[in-house]
Amino acid sequence: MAVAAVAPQVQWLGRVSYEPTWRAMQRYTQERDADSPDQIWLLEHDPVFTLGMNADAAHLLAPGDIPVVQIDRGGQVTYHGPGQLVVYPLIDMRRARLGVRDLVSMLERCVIDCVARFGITARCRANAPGVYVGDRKLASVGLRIRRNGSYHGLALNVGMDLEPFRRINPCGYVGLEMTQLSELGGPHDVAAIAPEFAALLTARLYR
Amino acid sequence: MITIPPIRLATSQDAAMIAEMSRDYIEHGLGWSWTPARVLAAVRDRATNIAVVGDSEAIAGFGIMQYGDDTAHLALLAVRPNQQQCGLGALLMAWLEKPALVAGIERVRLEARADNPNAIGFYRRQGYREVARVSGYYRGTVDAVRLEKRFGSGLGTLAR
Repeated sequence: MAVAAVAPQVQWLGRVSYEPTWRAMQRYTQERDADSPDQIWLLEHDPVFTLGMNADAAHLLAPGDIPVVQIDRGGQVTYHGPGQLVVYPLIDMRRARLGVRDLVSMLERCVIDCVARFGITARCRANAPGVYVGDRKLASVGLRIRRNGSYHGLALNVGMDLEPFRRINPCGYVGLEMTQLSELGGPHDVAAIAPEFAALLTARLYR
Repeated sequence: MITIPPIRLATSQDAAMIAEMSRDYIEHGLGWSWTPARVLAAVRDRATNIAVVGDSEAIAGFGIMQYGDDTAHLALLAVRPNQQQCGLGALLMAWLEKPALVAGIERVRLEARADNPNAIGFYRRQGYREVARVSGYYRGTVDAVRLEKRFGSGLGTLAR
């Protein structure tokens, strides 16, 4: 990978609501130029279901009081909420000499390496994005590329209420069960794992 | 039992054999446009993926997909005749379609020779629909059928 012309800016945004964050990602990508730094945003979202470009609303079984937002990332329906680490890499793909597959693989690899430090063995699958522990899904990946810039990204379940995932067919798979680090002997706190994840990702992106 | 080797990204070592397979199985009668140099450029282009089954001395099949913001384009796909009917083509397609699905790419397009009903039938079985016939697409001599598979219905699947 090439070294970025400008040092990336890594930011911990804390707990933020979905829609303004999504709009800010779109705006940054729309307005960035060849000199703009890459940004890596790490955060937690307020509870929300998001429907990706390939989403079938039939997989949204019973959203109840959790808001639903239809968005422009790849993939199906998913849930975000407190206790889940969300990572948005806003990368100039051309400058970083990355293709979509490279970035997806890199995000998946960072999850696998990060959780291995807690003794958790996770894997990715050949034809389904995301990271799994056994048959259960630990992390989801969905992106969008505009003008060579990536946005959206990764959601890693850390220590959260997984019940809302039972109100949907996550990623469009009936009965797909989710898991999280706190159930696997890992950390419970998103803020504790965020710096470590950011360090792994920047090391891979800009080595 | 047939064991299917894993799909991998092509390297520069594979360029010559991929080019030969294109010449022999896809471009026959049309001249040779996917030369080793052109394949090598595609190997190095990060917005293009070349998926390969088999090692560089014995490639069983390959596919070349170019990814744009909204549309991906399948440039080439071939499976050796003696290794067809084993599902390799479908596996290669699914592997190449994966980044398009993850990145919200709305459609994959491809052209098939109008004089190759087997290829057109294969793409139909993979969910592709004919959208146009392009007269003289190949060197002005052979027509193409353009096929498309749509992934995203955009921002319209939830009633608003």
